[in-house]
Formats: sequence, C-alpha cells, structure tokens
Amino acid sequence: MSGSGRVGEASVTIGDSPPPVSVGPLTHSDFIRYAGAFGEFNPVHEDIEVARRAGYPDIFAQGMLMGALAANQVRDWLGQERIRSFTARFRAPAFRDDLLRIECRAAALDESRDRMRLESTITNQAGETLLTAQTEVEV
Amino acid sequence: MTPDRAVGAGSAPEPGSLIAEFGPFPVEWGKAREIAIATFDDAGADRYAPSEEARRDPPFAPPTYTMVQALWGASLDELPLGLEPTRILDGEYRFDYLKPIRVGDWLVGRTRYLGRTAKRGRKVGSFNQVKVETTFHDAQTDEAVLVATRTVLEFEEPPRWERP
Repeated sequence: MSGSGRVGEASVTIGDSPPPVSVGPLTHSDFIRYAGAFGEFNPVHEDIEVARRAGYPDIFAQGMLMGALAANQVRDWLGQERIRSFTARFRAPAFRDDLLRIECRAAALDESRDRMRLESTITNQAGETLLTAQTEVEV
Repeated sequence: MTPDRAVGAGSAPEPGSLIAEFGPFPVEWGKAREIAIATFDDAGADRYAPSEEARRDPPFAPPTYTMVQALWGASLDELPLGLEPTRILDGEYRFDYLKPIRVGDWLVGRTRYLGRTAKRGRKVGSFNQVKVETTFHDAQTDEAVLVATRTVLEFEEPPRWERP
C-alpha cells in the first residue's frame, strides 16, 4: 500500500510514524490516579490482594489507560479534529513495573473515502504486544 | 451474599434496549487536566490552562474524555449487566467522533445494551463478549457528537497471564 495525503497542515505518506513514546515503569499510583480521573474503579487494578485472589499475578493497568496513551499519540501527531474513529483492542495486561512503548504508523490510504488508516501498537519490555489500535483520520 | 452464578446467567436486558440515560454533564477544564495527568499527556497542563485566550477558543476534550460517564451514573458497575468486576476485562473500545467536543460543552449520554455472545479463545478458554454502546449528544441541540462502543470480556476464570 502506498500513497500520501494531507492531514490538516501535515503531509503524511504511508509508512510515516510519529516519534515513539515510552511510559513506565508503571506504578500502583498510576492505576489509582487513572481510576480516580475517570471514576471507574475495579479492585483488580487497585488492590494487590484482590487481583491475586482473582487469579492474576499482580495488579495491572486499566485497558483504556493504554488506549488513552495510543489515542494521545495520534492526537499529538495529526490533531484531534482530523480523527474520525479510534478502536483499541486489548491483547494482554500491562502489569505494575512494566515499561510501555507506544508506536504508530500510517498504514493505508482510502482516497475514495478521504480516509487514512493508522495502526498503533503498545509493547512491553519483553516485546509482547499488549494493545493494537486503528485510527481513521480524514485526509 | 448471592450464590455464585454461571457466566452470563441472570436477568440480562433485551439486546438493543436503553439501559442508562445520564447528564447533562459539563466537559470541565479541571477534569480535562486531571485526565491529561492520568494519561501521561505532558502537554496537558498547558493545553487545559484556562487562560483568557483559551476560554475564547476552548481546546478539544481529551480523546477518551467521555469515559467520565462512570462519574455520571453509567459506570460498568451501575449498568444492569450483572458483571462481576474481578471476572471481566476490556476487550475492545471504539470511539466514533462525529462532531468536535470542546471544554465548556455540555453532554448527555444514552447507553444501549447490544448483546452477549459466547466465545472461545485459543489462549483464554471460554468467555462472553458483552457489548454496550453509548451515544453522547450535545445537551442543547441533541445532536450526536460521539459514539463509544465497549466490548467487555466476561470470564468464568481469568486467563492465566504471566508476568513478562
């Protein structure tokens, strides 16, 4: 797939990427802060004993904490006003102490619909994919 | 204490039915700033500083702002889905951005239950996919501005994840 398009002020070619973003090591406080900001609490993210009793090796990040990291990277690259949809899929948990790497690339251009598709991934320090996301932007 | 229930048992709403209506609620400077901090958005403190100039031309809300629905009566706990918090994981979250949402806007939300589907995964065994869709509308004009579609995975036993 090749091609390029203008996204607002930016000219984006298939294969282009914004700078990767690193976050972590994730802390217990990060999970509490996220839960408080959105008002969505679940003890598997906040209480180590509950997480272990439920069968998890440790507390882990809310899925949409990772989703927000991927969405923020796209927003910072091309601007919120161009984003038409954002879909995050959760592949594996980000545990406490994990180091995350957030990456994105322009994957496909659909000129008939004036849309470009971006693909994002979040991986941990072991190279495991924790999240994949697709964003549709208007070109 | 209610007896342990089978996954997906209980009184599920009819697929397509409206299960929550909430708001009007404001898109707030302080909340936007708090979300920026909680999502490692280093430029958020400047972006959501309510200077005179910024108040004349308010910034877009953070991309996942509408997840604050949990603060306005439509958290997963409050929706009548019978979900047990320690047995669920997010599977997918989709946002369709129909119109810009800016700080200072007021929104209302309507959440529909889309259904529950039994699935089997290679790594994770059997689970249910539970889907809900929330449409956010401008509180003044009732124009739809964002559709958020959430897929929650409901397990009998959580998957056996290992730490990296």
